[in-house]
Order: sequence, then structure tokens, then C-alpha cells
Amino acid sequence: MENNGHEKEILDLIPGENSWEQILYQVVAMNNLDPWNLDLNVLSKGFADHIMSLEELDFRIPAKWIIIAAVLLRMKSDYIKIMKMDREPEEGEFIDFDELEETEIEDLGTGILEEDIDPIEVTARRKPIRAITITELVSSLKRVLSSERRRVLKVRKARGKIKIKTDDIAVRIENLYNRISSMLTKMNEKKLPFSSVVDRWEKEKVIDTFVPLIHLDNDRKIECRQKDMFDEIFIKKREDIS
Amino acid sequence: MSSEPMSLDELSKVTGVNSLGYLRGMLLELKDDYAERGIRLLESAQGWSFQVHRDHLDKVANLTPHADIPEGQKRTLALIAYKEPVTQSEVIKIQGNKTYAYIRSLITRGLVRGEKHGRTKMLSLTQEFERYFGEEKERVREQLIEKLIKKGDAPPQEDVPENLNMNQE
Repeated sequence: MENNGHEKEILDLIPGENSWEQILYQVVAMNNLDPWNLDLNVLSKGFADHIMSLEELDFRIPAKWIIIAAVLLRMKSDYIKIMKMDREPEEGEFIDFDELEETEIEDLGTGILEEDIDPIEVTARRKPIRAITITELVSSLKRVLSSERRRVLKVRKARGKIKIKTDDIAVRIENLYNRISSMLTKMNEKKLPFSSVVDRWEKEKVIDTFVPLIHLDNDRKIECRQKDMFDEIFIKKREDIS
Repeated sequence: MSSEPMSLDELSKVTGVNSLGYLRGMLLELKDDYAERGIRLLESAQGWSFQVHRDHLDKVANLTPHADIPEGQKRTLALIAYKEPVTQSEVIKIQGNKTYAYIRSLITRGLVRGEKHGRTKMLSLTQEFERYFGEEKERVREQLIEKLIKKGDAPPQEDVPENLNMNQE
């Protein structure tokens, strides 16, 4: 039973998600603290003890818990006033403020020194910023214009590479139809593979032939059939079908 | 010691002066007092701030690398200043899609105005822009082109805004 109790104590120590609040509640409950008038000394010590016991058991301690402990410690240090000691502590003597009652702490000192001590101030991380100058505006403009010029040149260059046919599409459609007709007659066939109509199997030639072909199909002069994608296209004349 | 301009409300909280009118009056007095000095007290859309006088800014700009307008926004502002009035779509075409955010920031800051123009916006410079640079916008544009030419980057004639009358000789 004792073992089970010990085991439960250890399991209780395992940090869960967002359980730091629960630990605070636990410290408050265990020390009979008044939730409306918390003793920061006891609360921060209880929380720190809990973290230390976790360390002893080699549990991983969430970073958030360390922050909470640091905040509590900060609150505690704000709470305990810096006292002027009546006497210098003897060598090796350690005064544990946690062990002293509040009245005993006050007895130790003769007065609060807060007004004599410069408060610790966090240096503001001030990034000096300034207005931009017209010279800088010019440099920025220069960059924009040069990248714009590069973009325009790139477009012009790309356009130069593409040869746009200016001949009449109607003539090309008619020429292709005549060619298909004569090839079908010569071959004495009813259908013709598209690859045989293209002069040379090159990208531009394929496109040059394919464009009038789809016009012919659309005009219902021919019918194109393709079994699967990227397969051969077979061409039939509509008049032959009917 | 704020790194950003402070609004009247913020200044009221810091100084404990509750009357905003009185506080503004004091700020205006202080502004007059600083008018002839190297540092000026400026009121902008974001609030009040001390700034080095424009005439001396080039000399001290190297003391801090942090400008109050990030590089992307600076390029957009430069382009608008150069081509004004210019449509948002034209600026986007030149600088890319991320420019929408830059334009929004410049409008929020009060340096640029965007008015509905068909399916896009017509962008123009504001009085705040003139206050920021301490010059009329036409003069800023002239300086932009003059400095571009001095740097050996004479803008192509088609790039020079039609409404800009200047002698490039």
C-alpha cells in the first residue's frame, strides 16, 4: 500500500498539459492559503519545490513552468522589501527569509531603502528609425525601373521566339481538306491516321496541321476519332461516313 | 522616447494633461519653437514625432539603417511618385502581387490615396506625402528624374510622365 501511495505521488508529479494552474491550486490547498489573500512566499516556494522534485525524478519540465516560477519569484522579490540590516551577517550565516515570519523580517531591518536604491529598469529596445530621403526613393525607383525593363525585355524576347503565322486560316483549312481527300483516294482507304498528314513530326508542324484539322471537324467536313488520350487520331471524311 | 509617432491620446496619458486641445496647443507652440532647428516636431496621420530636418537628413541618414518605410513599400511609393496618377493594376503589373499589401500600408499611412477607377484604383499622392518629404509632389518627382539622370540612368522618354514639365537638358 505504501508503495502504491508513493507511486501515486510520483504520478501526480508528471506534468500534464497546462497543469501549472493545477499545481498552483494544489499548493494553495496544501498550505491552507487564503485564495483572496495569497502568501506569495509560500506560493512561490511551493511551486519551486514542485519543480525541484520533478528535476530530482528527471522528468522533463515544460518551459512554461519555468516562466511561471520566474514570474512568481519576481512577484516575491517585489513583495519582500529590501531591508537595511542592523548588523552584518556573520561569515557563513544564511538568513532564510522563507523560514521567517513577516514580523521577524521587519525586525531584521531598521528601514526600507527603496528610495535610496535605483530601481532596476529594463532597457527599452528602441530601434532608431528615420524618414526616408529622396536619394533613397531614387535608388528604390531605379531598382523598380530596371527590373521592369528586364521584365519587358524578357517578354519581347519570348514573343520574338514565337512565330505567329499570318497566312489565311481559311486557305490552310481548304488545303488540308484537299490533301486528306487526295491521300484517302490514293490509298483507297476510308480513314487516315493524323501522323500521315503531318509533313514532319515536329512540334510546329503538328500544330500547323492540327489547328485546321479541328476546324474541319467543327465544320463537320471530317470526323476525328481517338481511342485513348495521346493515341493516334484517325480521320474520316463525313461524306464517306454517310 | 517612443520609436513611433505618438497620438494625442497617448501623449495625454504620458503627460497627464487631460485637455487634448490644450495639449495640441502646446505641441503647436513647440513645433514653432523647433521650426528653425535641425530637428522638427511633425504631426502626421500616425501622430506626433520629432524628425531630423529634411535639409540635413542626407547627412545623418547613415547613422541609422532603419528607415520608417520598408524597402518593398519604398519601391511602390517611388513608382507611384514617378508615374502618378497611376492605376493600381499598372503598379501590380510592374511590381507583382505582393504590392497589394504595400499599397494598403501606404494608404493606411496616409502617403497615398486610392480612388475607385473601374475595376481598379487610381493611386495618387497625398498632402501627407508632401508633408513627409517637405516638398510639393511635383518637386519630388522632378528631383527623382534629375537624380536618375545624374546617376546615369536617364529614364526612357516613354517612362517620363506626360504631365511632368521639366527641362532634361
